[in-house]
Amino acid sequence: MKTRNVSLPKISVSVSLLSIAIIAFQLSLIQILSIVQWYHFAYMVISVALLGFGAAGTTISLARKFLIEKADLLLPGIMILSGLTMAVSVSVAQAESIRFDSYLLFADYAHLWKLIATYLLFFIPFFLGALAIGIVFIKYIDKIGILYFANMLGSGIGGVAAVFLMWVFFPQKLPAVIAGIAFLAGLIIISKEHQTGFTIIVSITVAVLSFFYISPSELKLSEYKGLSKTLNIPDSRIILRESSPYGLIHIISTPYLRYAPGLSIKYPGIVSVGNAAFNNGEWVGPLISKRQDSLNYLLFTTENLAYATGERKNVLVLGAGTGKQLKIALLNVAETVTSVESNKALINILKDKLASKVDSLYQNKSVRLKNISPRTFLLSTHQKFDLITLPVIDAFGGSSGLFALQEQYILTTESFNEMLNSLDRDGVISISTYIDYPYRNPLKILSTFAEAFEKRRIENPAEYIFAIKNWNTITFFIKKDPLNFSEIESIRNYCNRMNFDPVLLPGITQTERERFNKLQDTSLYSIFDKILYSKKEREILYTEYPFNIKPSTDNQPYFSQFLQWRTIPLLADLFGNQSVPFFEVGYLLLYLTFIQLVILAFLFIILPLFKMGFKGGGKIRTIAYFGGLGLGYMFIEIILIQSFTLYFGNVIYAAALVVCLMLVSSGFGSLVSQKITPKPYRIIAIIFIIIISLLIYTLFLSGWIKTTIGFSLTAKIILSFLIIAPLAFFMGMPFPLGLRSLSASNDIQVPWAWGINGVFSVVCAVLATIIAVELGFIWVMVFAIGAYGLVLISNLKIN
Amino acid sequence: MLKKKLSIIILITLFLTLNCVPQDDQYTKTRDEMVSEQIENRGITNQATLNSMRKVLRHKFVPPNLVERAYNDSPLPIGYGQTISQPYIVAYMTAAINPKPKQKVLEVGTGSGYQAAVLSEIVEEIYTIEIITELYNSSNKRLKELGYKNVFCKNSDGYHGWKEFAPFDAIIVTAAAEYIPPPLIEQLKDGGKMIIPVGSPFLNQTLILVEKNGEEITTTSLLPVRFVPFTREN
Repeated sequence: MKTRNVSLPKISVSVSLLSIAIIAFQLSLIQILSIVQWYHFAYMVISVALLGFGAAGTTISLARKFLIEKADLLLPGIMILSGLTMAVSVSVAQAESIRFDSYLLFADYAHLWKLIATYLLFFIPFFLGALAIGIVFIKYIDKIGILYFANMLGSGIGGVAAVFLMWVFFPQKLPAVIAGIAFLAGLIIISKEHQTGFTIIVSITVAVLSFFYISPSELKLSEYKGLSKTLNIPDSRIILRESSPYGLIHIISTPYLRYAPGLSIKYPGIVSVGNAAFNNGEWVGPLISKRQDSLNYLLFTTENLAYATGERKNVLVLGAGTGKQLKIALLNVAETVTSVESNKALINILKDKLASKVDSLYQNKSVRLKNISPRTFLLSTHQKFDLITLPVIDAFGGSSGLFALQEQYILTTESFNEMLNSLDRDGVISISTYIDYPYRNPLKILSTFAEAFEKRRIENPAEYIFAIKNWNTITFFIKKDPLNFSEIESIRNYCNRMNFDPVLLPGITQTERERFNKLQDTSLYSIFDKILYSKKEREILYTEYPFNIKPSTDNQPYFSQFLQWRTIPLLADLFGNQSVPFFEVGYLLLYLTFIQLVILAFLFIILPLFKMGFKGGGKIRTIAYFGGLGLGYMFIEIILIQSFTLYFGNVIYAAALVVCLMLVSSGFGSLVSQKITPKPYRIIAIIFIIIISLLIYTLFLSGWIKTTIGFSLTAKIILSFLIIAPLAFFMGMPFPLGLRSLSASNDIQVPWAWGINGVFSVVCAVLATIIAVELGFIWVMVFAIGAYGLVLISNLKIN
Repeated sequence: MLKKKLSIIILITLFLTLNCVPQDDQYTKTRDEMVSEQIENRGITNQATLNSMRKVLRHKFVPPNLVERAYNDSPLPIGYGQTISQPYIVAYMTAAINPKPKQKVLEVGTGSGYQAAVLSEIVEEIYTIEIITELYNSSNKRLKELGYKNVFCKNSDGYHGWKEFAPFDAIIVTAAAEYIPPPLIEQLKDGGKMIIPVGSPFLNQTLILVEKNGEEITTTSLLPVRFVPFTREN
């Protein structure tokens, strides 16, 4: 049945606009939820909400006749409603009765209900948007190649548009802006005969969207976020807010906040009070004051030891943030300080907007700014440095385990090895961490360096590593050459002067380690010795220690992932059942999200079968084909985002580029597929090309990235296009071809198949992270090949 | 007539006596259980601390809607992002400084005033500082109403201590800190002890004991004391 009133070009534009809105809304929602809660809770909520795609497939399967017959009337209405709910849902989610708090989920069951309410709230716009797209696909199944192209093109543009919009609008205003795009999608396909009826709906929508744009609900942050706690201090106030794709930065003026990790108890003066920066409500760092005398405390810290043991003229500060390490280097008269910081929005604030209020270190003539990720800089530089410093590991005030699933490429054995390569003779690497308990971070840092040395065939790393501690911070120093006698003496003298204890030092005694700052649990030292002095004992420790202290690698770059399933009962015994989730909330949430998705996905796949019948019709093949495509596509997208993040040194732009290139190229693949008759052998050939390409990627992608990482940005973008576009072009073909083939043989299954593809894509996003955390990224590629293998087999059967 | 007068006197005496009996009778047993189960069972043996914890009416220091949970084994919110610490932490910190009669103690972070009340039952004078004005007002009023005459409150930034009354035999910091404020070390008596929690206030905290012996200052990182977040009811 064809529509009389809406042309194919118009409906294609409408699908594109709606796709832009859906992707942009998804990204803005991640940003908003990351601000009010934490990234992993955002991830959990969005994953469930995205199952709206599966639910839409199920709905169309169950009410296909009605939806297709009334499509002319329903489509604009559903699209407009999708936009309307995008704008409304974010504001409603801020209401006290719905707003959940992540930390209370495990302690107060009322918050579980609030979480479910939040799921439902954000599910609605995705469901409606997907329903509209699904109806279009089914109604115009003979033109699926063109429409799928429109869908992919829109999604690709949506990813880029979201990044652009995040620079322009504050997060709370963004949903209303994006909703406007969805509204437009509906507006252009209102048929002439329904125009009068839609007048009121259109007027109301315009009024509502305008209202939510002009006065959106203020975002209410969890009271446990650093920003909320700081604003509770009297006279604290926000002096600047800056929105960008990197997050929402708040600069806070607070008369009582003092920050000095690693400070000596011998410091006689007052630690300066200053302004501080927060990103998405979490601590970034203190802003450096212009008053030079107020910064002398920096010379009384564990980190300053690097300068007490040798001349450091050429310093590299990785993850420079608000500039504390730059200041220490400049106070120690370093000649050149190369400062690597990827957050451009933060740099802009420090360099320009607050230049009159703070010490704009980035404008100092000795400072060379590199706006790139630290690891990408390490991979592309040939310079040598006297000192390389890293930011303090772990958050201000303690570990919450929320970064367990954050890829930290700067803390892998490969990265530590590259740092050693970038050191000049007698150069040193400095890295500090809080002494957490149970001990985790200090142990993993040491094991990572121990293994980096092992890779360099250095048999006794203890001669190259020294560490000192104050009452709650430990700073490690790693040299390229063994420590000499005068350096060892300098370290001892510095410790005596500052009331610090050497923890690792050639020839150290147990008494020295406990002179000024004692630990009630002294096992830290014996574990250190095991890691450093014996490979065999280190290996045993990896298996016996309750936490994962094995070094992270580029293949599994999850430095802050410490929890192990096998030791959870032990931890529950030691610290109580309720405590376990708080060791590593992010890790447990990942599995919780996966379980939820699998249950819901199962329901969405099963439900239509009650109407279609459980037997016959090649249903297993349909699941294998469309499920396999959903899995395979997402696995590859995730691998490419991961690889290109390292390549470009910026996760946001890398993700936008990969998603855009992939979706648009796949869109063109889909467009070309419209001219191909969907014969099984043709589909098999396409799948075969994809699998061969993936095998080539597995072998060469990593090496290719490391070889060309130093190229210019333009060259890198062109190379990325050449790598991504051809593969994605072919990856865009099997889905529309499969749908057309299914439509010809078993039309009733088409919406079901579309839903299955959506469901598997969502489940896959979480599954890929689980595979990467537990097995490594290389296995994600293996699973991607496996998924396309499944698609191949399902076609062979058809053949 | 005399009989009538006598009856009236007896009635008045009885009324006054009944009114003098603390209205918290219903919590005495709960409090004893709190001390034996949550504190003694976990290894705290300092008798002065245990006695004081048995005596101080903890439920008077929590918001009215949380009175029923006052003796639970958890911290409770008191507003402004602050909490009244878990009973075990209060006892642990008190015992760690080993307070004695005739001593003068400084507390940084009055909060609800409960820790100050516990200490005031043991030592001679307590000087307590609270930065949040609203909490200072409410805890100052509460401590006065409950008759704690040896507790002196101040609304200020605790970082600078309370120089006029220094030096102190012991200092107890009840707000999570990033480092040990130098002015507090200065205001600690020779041989004095200071206890200070480090870490996130709603997750794991490590208590640090600071001891001053002449010029030498040593710290001991004690074990973490809490891993359970509080639940909020509002």
